[in-house]
Amino acid sequence: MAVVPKLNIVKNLTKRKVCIGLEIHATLKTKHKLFSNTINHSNINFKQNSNANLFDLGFPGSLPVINNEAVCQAIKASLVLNANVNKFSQFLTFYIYSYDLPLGYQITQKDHPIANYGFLDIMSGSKDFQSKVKKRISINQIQLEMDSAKSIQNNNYVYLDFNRSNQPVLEIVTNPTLESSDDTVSFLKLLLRELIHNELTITNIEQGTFRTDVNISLTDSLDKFGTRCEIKHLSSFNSIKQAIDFEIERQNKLLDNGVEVQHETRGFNEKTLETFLLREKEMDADYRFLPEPDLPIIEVSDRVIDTLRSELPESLQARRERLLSYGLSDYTVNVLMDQYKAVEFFEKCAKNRDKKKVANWMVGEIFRFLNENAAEAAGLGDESSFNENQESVMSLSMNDLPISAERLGEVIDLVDSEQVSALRGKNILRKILREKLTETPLQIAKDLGYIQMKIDLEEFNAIFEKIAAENYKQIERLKGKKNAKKSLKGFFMGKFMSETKGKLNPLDCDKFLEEKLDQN
Amino acid sequence: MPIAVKGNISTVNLPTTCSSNILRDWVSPYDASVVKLLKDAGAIIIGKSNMDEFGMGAYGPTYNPVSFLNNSTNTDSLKNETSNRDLDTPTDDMFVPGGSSGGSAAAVAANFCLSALGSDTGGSVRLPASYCGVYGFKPSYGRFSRYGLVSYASSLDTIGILGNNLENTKTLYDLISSFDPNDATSVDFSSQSCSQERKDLEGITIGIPQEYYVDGLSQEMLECWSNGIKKLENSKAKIVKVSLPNTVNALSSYYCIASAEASSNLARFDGIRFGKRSEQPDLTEKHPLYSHTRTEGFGPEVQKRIMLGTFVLEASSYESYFGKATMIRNMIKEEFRTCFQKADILLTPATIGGAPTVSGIKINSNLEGGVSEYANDVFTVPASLAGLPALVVPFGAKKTTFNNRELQLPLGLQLISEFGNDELCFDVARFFNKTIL
Repeated sequence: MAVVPKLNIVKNLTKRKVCIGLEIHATLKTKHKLFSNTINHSNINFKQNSNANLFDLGFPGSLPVINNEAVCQAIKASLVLNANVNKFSQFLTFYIYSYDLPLGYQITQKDHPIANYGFLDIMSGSKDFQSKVKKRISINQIQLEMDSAKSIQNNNYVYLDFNRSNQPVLEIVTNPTLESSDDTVSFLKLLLRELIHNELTITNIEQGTFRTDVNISLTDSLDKFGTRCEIKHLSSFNSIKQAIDFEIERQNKLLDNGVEVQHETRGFNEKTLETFLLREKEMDADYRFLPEPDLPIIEVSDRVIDTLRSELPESLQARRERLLSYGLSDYTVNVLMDQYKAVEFFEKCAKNRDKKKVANWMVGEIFRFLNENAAEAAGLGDESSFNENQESVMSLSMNDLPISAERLGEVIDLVDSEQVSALRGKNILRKILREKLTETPLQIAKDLGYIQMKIDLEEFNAIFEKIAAENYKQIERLKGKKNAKKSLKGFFMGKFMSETKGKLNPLDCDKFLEEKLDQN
Repeated sequence: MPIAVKGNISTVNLPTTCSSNILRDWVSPYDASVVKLLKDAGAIIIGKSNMDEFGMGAYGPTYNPVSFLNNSTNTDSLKNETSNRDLDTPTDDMFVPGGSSGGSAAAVAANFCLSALGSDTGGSVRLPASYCGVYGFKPSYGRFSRYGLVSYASSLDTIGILGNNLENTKTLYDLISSFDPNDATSVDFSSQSCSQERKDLEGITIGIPQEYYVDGLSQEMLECWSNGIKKLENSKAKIVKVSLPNTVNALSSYYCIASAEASSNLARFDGIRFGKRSEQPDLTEKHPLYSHTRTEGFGPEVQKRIMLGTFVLEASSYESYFGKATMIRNMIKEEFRTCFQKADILLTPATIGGAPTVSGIKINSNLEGGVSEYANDVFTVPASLAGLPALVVPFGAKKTTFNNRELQLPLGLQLISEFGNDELCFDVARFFNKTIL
């Protein structure tokens, strides 16, 4: 982790009301792109300019055709965000001359979006959990639009990669009802969690599939907004928080000095943690829209909405309640729910097993492995603990785990049935994860000689007699000691282990010795 | 069947330049859907035809073959005439073919091919058909796929057909009437009724829009129209007067909407992915690559319409221009709908008169700053705004003299029918050729 300079957040200055509104752009998870039948690859490692067809490149004579799946996904997102799905929605062309827009305009929505008036409830307040209160964040608009190509500037050249061109993007616009950077981040985390949970977006924030523009204004007045600034293209929760905190301080200072805040678009420098002027806000004339004549109006029937609603998975709230009903702790539930597909993995593994035990294995072992893996992938030496870095991107997802839920279950069963010790069970799991062993856990345990010996009382007695006969003097000496039983037990335990080459279950042995030594 | 294809319809083996510098030498990597349908049916594409740049123009890019012909349409006379004339030094007293599908119309009129594909946005097939004396058909919006047609104004653009006779025009129509999933505005008309063989027009009502008697309608066109009405009446059709009050506003509405959509559709020509790129971008400007490429690449008429379109879409002018134009368009659609409650099909002139000469145009445009060109579309634009099928039938001619020869300058009448009822145009058109006893 880079050393982060301490921010001076002047708390006593924030007497002005802060109004934060967000425009979130999330890449929709679909098979095909928004207006062409090109595959919608979320993988940035795909060869440049290898995944674009005539329309994605804006070739003359090519036409857009709306991908129904993208519309369905957008409607599902609207339902998840408690919004009203509009019966009719319409696409517009929005003109921006930019190298990365092959058509010379973006196909987007404005007056007739997919949905309006949604909300999400967040727990508002500081880190101190006790003082948190439920707060409703209202969403004004949910719309569909096409993504631009990716442009990279280098030595006076602009390199363009059209793989991203025409990917479906869901734009979610909130009302300016957020009041702090903490609330903003809580809201965004919840939003992302909902989108991921409902299979509406892909998980990788680093690939720019979840971008946020933040609008901030400060006001003294109760009924009037101040002049807002827009901070563009923030992609990590950390930078969103830092950018908002910096911007609040900057605007406060301006207002304290009697300087007006300018309506402008700003960027955020992740190194200095400062926002900077990108451009002054364009005049009206620069914004031009035209109803997209190549695309028909989208009509959504109640039946379609009902069908899509029925396809949504269990809601996050219901899922949380169900997990808590298993007796899992808040912390465990949070950890499981924060990782995409972890709950599904858990359920599969915990079926017919002790749910708490399985949860402990997952939080303790599986998540430790994911964290270590992420840290290694990021080239970081330290193991950042999971709960402090919930937004940190794991380079391995649950689906990429080298172990299935069934195999994890087999490992847990080995320990539960006392065939191997808990410590060795964890060792087996680590070997499967790290060394990608493919044998059954039982086979691995056998190969490593981890299987514990099951011996009956007779055998115990035989070994006991043997040890006693071979170490007569020593035993007599120990008997004379103050804590005779404890010393003897330790001594016999050691001898038992070396006699059985360590394969004896120490608990079994302990139980036997406890009784045996009492008799003598 | 040999067919010419307009220069804005994509073909893999021939250039698709839209007669624009910005697409000079551009060869499309794919065939337009309509081209594919024709090729699959065994048609031979003999070449790409010249056009007004991006389909914007009413006069045409070439010369009207009528300038080379005697008052017969005999191919031999064409050969003789052309061999005697130096085509490289055409004179200003020659006639224009009409635009923008002038190349296609001229090719058919000159018998280079039996039929041709054009495109019709506001009359670009029907106007040259009338000037050149051939059939010109514009379908219901959505009947022919636009996939592969380089867009000018998407909500108005249609592929059109030019044919030397009604049968060849209809043959092409049958071949390319096909729903296309690659075009989201394509309409599946397959369930609609087919053409009927009629012995007369009994039971058919022909509407005559009274507002089409415009100022400036030429005497010979007025005669031609009256003759046409009589001819259909003789075929037992019922003639009724109908009203289209917003005809007078159609041109303004059309040029506003078409320019707005053109500014949109031509935005993609930026010199980055295909076509011409300026060699000398001045890097001190805000958008050097764009402005140089587009200034060098687009001709004056295209630049004029892009600027007009950009203006009408600006936030400050949107409601008073584009908003109003859309309103008028909806009113025109509504008026047509009312007309079709009274009449099955409308008969109108296709043009104000016969084809003008190059010199005549030059005088006019000097007087009026080029706007008079737009007035040529007055009869064709309303059907475009309403998305209705329309067929221009060559009917009658204006006698004139050219190079001391007597010449028949062709005139055309237009049949407009209800949305989706394209075939009725063909059915009725047959009776212009029939001799009624």
